[in-house]
Amino acid sequence: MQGLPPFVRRTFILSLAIATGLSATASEIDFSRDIQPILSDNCYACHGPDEEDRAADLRLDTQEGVKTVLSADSILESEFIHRILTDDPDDAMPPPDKKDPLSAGEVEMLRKWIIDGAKWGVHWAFEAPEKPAPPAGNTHPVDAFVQAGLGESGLSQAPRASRETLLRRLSLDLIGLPPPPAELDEFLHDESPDARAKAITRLLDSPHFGERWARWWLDAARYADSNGYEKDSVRYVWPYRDWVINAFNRNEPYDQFIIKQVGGDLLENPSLQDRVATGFLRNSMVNEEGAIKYEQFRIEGIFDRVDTIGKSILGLTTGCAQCHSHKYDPIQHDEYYGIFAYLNNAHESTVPFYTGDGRKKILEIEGSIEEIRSKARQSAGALESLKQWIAKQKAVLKGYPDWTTVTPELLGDGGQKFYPREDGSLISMGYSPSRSTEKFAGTTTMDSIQSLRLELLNDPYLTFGGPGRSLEGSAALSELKLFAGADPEKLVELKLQPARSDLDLPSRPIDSHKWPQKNGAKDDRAEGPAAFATDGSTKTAWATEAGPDRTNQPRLLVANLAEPLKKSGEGPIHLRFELHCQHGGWNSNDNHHRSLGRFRFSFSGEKWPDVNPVSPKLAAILEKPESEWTAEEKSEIDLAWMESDPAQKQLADAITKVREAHPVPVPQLAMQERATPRETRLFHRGEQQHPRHAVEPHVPAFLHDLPEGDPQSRLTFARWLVDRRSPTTARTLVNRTWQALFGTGIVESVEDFGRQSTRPSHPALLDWLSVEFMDSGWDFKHLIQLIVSSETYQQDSAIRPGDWENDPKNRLLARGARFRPEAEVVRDTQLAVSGLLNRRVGGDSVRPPIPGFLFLPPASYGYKTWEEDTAAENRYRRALYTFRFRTVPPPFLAAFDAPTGEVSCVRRPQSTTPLQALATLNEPLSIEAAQALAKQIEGNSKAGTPESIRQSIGIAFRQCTSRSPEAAELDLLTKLFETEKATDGGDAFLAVARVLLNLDETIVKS
Amino acid sequence: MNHSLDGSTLSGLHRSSSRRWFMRDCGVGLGGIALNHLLAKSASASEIANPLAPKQSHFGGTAKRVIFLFMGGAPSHVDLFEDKPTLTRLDGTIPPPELLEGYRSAFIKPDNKLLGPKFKFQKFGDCGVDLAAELMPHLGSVADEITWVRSMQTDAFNHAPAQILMSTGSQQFGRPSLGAWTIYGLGSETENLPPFVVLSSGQKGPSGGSSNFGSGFLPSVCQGVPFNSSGDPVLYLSNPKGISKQSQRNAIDAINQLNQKRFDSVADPEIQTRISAFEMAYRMQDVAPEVTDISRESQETLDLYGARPGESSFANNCLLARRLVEKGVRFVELFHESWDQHGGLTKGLQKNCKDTDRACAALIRDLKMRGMLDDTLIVWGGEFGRTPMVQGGNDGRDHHPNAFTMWMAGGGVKSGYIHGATDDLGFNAVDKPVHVHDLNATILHLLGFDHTKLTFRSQGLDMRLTNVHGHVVRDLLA
Repeated sequence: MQGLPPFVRRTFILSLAIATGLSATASEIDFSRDIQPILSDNCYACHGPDEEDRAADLRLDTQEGVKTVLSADSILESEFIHRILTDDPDDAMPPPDKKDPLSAGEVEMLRKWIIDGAKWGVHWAFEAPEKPAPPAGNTHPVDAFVQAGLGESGLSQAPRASRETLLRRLSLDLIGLPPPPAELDEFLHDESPDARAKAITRLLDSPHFGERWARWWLDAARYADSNGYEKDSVRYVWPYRDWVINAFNRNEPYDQFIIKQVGGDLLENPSLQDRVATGFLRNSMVNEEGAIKYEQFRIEGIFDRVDTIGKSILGLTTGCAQCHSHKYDPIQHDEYYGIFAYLNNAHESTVPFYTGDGRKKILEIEGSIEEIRSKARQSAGALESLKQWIAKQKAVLKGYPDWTTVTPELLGDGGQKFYPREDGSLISMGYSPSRSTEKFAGTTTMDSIQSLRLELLNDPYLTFGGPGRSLEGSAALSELKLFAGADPEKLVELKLQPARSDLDLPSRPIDSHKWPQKNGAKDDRAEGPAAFATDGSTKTAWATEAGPDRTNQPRLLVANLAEPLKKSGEGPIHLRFELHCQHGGWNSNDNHHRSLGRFRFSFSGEKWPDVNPVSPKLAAILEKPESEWTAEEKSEIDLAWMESDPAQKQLADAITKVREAHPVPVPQLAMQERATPRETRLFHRGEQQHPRHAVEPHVPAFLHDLPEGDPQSRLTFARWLVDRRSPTTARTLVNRTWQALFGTGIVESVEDFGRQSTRPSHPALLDWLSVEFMDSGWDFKHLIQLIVSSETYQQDSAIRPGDWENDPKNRLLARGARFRPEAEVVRDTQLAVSGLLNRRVGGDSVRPPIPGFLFLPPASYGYKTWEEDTAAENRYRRALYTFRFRTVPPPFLAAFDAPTGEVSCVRRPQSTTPLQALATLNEPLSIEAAQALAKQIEGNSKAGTPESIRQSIGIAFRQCTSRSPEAAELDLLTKLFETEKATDGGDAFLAVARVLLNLDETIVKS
Repeated sequence: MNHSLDGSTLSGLHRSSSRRWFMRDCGVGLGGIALNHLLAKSASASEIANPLAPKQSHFGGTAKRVIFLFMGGAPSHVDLFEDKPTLTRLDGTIPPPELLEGYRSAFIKPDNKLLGPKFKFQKFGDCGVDLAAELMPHLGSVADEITWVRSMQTDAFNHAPAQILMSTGSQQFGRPSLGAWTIYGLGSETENLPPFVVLSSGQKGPSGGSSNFGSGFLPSVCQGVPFNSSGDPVLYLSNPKGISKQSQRNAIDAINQLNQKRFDSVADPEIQTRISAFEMAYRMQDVAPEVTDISRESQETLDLYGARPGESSFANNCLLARRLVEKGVRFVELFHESWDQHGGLTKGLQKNCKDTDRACAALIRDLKMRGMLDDTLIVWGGEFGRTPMVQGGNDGRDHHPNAFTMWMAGGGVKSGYIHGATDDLGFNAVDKPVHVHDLNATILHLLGFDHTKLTFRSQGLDMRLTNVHGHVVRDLLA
């Protein structure tokens, strides 16, 4: 120590305090805290839990393993120590080509440990936290622990921050917005002893609390508004984002918060909101690149979900165990796939989401329909007519010919992939082009063919169950062609008679807003009844958009061959089908697709009779005895009858009219469990093309046991994640909350509590808070309230002489936190202090100005649509609502380190860059904020006298920074005002406003 | 090296001397650990303040900077770089089934017929590299400046994952890019421009989007900054309408003075960082338009590249790249995403080569003339190759990860050297295969880094560009 320069000596003493935590004195060796990190960092890569790459069959992550290289008689002459000390490069450990030798201090630590008997222990974070008693001498437990930590360092806590600073800090931390001057005044003048407590409560109760903390959670949940990868097309998942906002606002207990996001769809009688919550798992990216294998990227999606759960909920690094057993932590290769298996049994499905108003509207519509329907039933002769109609439908069903299904194979290299389902149908998954002609080949041994049937079927994979690929679950079939013959090389086209279907929409021009031509070119395409699919023209299509309440049903199209086809010769009949889908938009990178989703071809040797088929949905009802019909089914039958009975036409038309007002649902991505479990296999080295043995759902053995419930169920897994016995769950949440408030977590590596994690600065405090959090019923607002009411949180953040050198990262908390908050807070502050901010909570994402070229090639892969919001209503919403393309992230937010949502992010970088300066100086919305603020300054100085201007600048200064300017600061600003005023074309008010919005104090949290 | 724990290798002498040292000299006390912990594991105050400060590499590399010409979409190696008479001969036949065992293709059925190369080959330079003569005369004329790697291999066969793998060493998103690792390792040589600049031309942007040049878990100042080839070169570079240069200066002066006052009372060094960021932004407003204004170049230079001021083109971007590296930009990445010829192969390649051939050669020549080629590494290539089998009728090829060609020039690679080879069909890299990880390891080596030691702790792991893979391909080094 003697020879060390003074600053090193100081840092040494401090770092010692940091490194050793609070409870231990320097002479005590704690295995978990002092020894395991050395072993983990230097030995486990080759002598750790991973059995596959283990060198010399030696484990140093178990006590038994270490014992084999420690000699009982002469510890210091044992292999273990020799290998560390030797100069022989062939013997030295860690191998000199891989690692630097241990430091003298590390060696000393190991020596002492061995002399003390090489006591073993469990890594601290792998044992459930217990609540330590706070050190005596302080009323607030947080302060008690932090003070005790300072004790050894020679540092002391800073005084409490000024009231202005404090309210600003609380306001930015709790609701993500700076306090308006009126709130500041109120707080400054509140003489009551509980003034601070009242302010905290007010902010916790604010509807903006949920917004601020939702954004914090959405980082971890890798939320974005697009699918990622190459196409990166738009997805509509803001209902999930709003669910998170509301969950924070209603203070949903954290355990429930997690259970719903991981297993909400499996709760008893799940509500729509419970299913929306599972959007958490579905925030994974979706690859829609041409020709991708759907299964490959479905699995990639599950890898991403395991990673997300590891980082955000468990605080554990799982990725290693995807390929082999973890090198450092005891997560086995098998156990990784045990977790994987819980997530592997779901359909990647969508739920139709309606806002509260939408749901109200639907109830209204249903009420009106019910009213009209009962009127119809009461009309003269109605019941008799209904009875006859039902009998007629049953007769039609009886008269169906016998069908033989043919499952054809896709021809050609178009990039759209079709996969067979067990019932002989095909489903299109992955890439879906906006326009396509897909050809399929098949054979049949039938003697003759007179008619064909094309069924459009539902599938959980398709939006709202399909049956089409569009974002409404609809499809349009421009033309269906059939070719046949004995020689597959010489097939001839068979003429089809006009097709019939259970759905014949009236003919209408195509909706060129939904399915546009490039550059708005003239569009002569039409859509409507089934006959459009066989009319020889690809300009007309059979469309299935029957309205939001009816589109997502199975459909049936039948057509007779103009001339029956007879088998000739020995071999089978060779067939080729062509599905022409030319009624999408033009852009295959922008949800313009509208092709068939799941479908099945069948043939019959009989002719189809001269009637329209019964809708498959009705057919399913009619097959059951009437006594078993539910109210809904009865209504379904009645409506169909009314539409077909001329006497009921007026009432049927009234229903059609009512239905037109049906709101359009939002296709929120969600999990939907499969009826039959999907087998999970371990992937050797994580490679999908090398599946090995089957793995049942199970959790890592070194963690706690599963709670009661079906051990195979994702819901049980969800409950396991937030089981009180979990050693890392509460700690992870508390730690990340701490990071949000102080800039750094108690454990700096918030994403990893494993053996390679950074040492906690205040281990006892972390444990105390974690247990307190669980004891409070996982009460998040209680946790926040507890932390921000401490003197530790409320300290002044000014750096006193020596503070920085001693503790640059403020790990010991001898001062308040001072750092630049998240990108969204920077943006929201600009909008708030300039008075532009629209404070509406929730709803669809918005599109503030962003340079258009970013959304066009060659900046963007595909042409993206960015219809800039021009009305203040959406232009000035909080940044949380800004639409986020993963591949073209909003540049202002990206400049301030907002994550793209490609992977879960629990720790944002915090940079300060020239690009940020350019953004706050020059970006359009920043300028609009400056202009608005300039107007306020001008408006507040109507008199135009130097005093009134000076005063008005002072008011604006306070709006931006939450404090009144000093005289020298005002001098500087008024001088700038005068200079600009004297300049030709200068805008003095704008100049001052820009400066105020760009001040460090406006941007950062002090 | 023998890492096995065989007790018999221990010599008694060795043992006792170690022991003595251990007992006597190791008494630095427990604090040593903490000290070590602080110095080794956490950033110093100056590093926190400026992660872009110039840094030494591990061993001093031959390359100081990189220009990466990323040919997005994947150029056809069988039509451009490799004369395969067998493939010509077997045109229209089914590929040998043993070749296709375990092969996964994207669009086509693997047993689509073989398609012979579309263009005539000619040998160029003393190295005698085969190039499609009609398409790449200019590149051919500098063939002897180049190291040709004809045995590239990758793991992915869809664009976005393969591009991300090429750019970040992983198919999983969220990892730092090669450019970001370079900046992390070497810091910046310019205070007026971002150290890592991205330019884009061609039909589309890169499939992997901004993740191709992202910083992942590294400090975000390491990420690539896209420059626009027309209008503002950097987003928000121009002053807003009605704000004069003087007014901007006045504003920044006032901001910095007020920030300085704030610093005087709260002493947060981050305020100083912000003050320099505003100064740098102001300088960038001056410097960036000047650097990106290629009309300042002589007509001779413009002609050399085939650049035309005011246009958006690969040629302009190549010239821009040279101007940027001259000004100290460390890593310039050009994306030219136009090579995905599933159909229209013949015309597509003609057009792409017309757009790029002259400029690629010009870049090599120009840097050489300026004495910068020796320490500037140029890398050219796409994310994978293309199938020797046909897609569609007779004028397209599908994605192919098993083999493709890349080339490098300058920065310490050999001149006029051909590395590796594929089989007779151009299907598999059979001689001296080079995986993407090997390429990345080699590029880091050229920059002076041991790729296994350029690491960053994230999620409890010492992460690196090459993950657990990669070998430096020493044959490529001059």
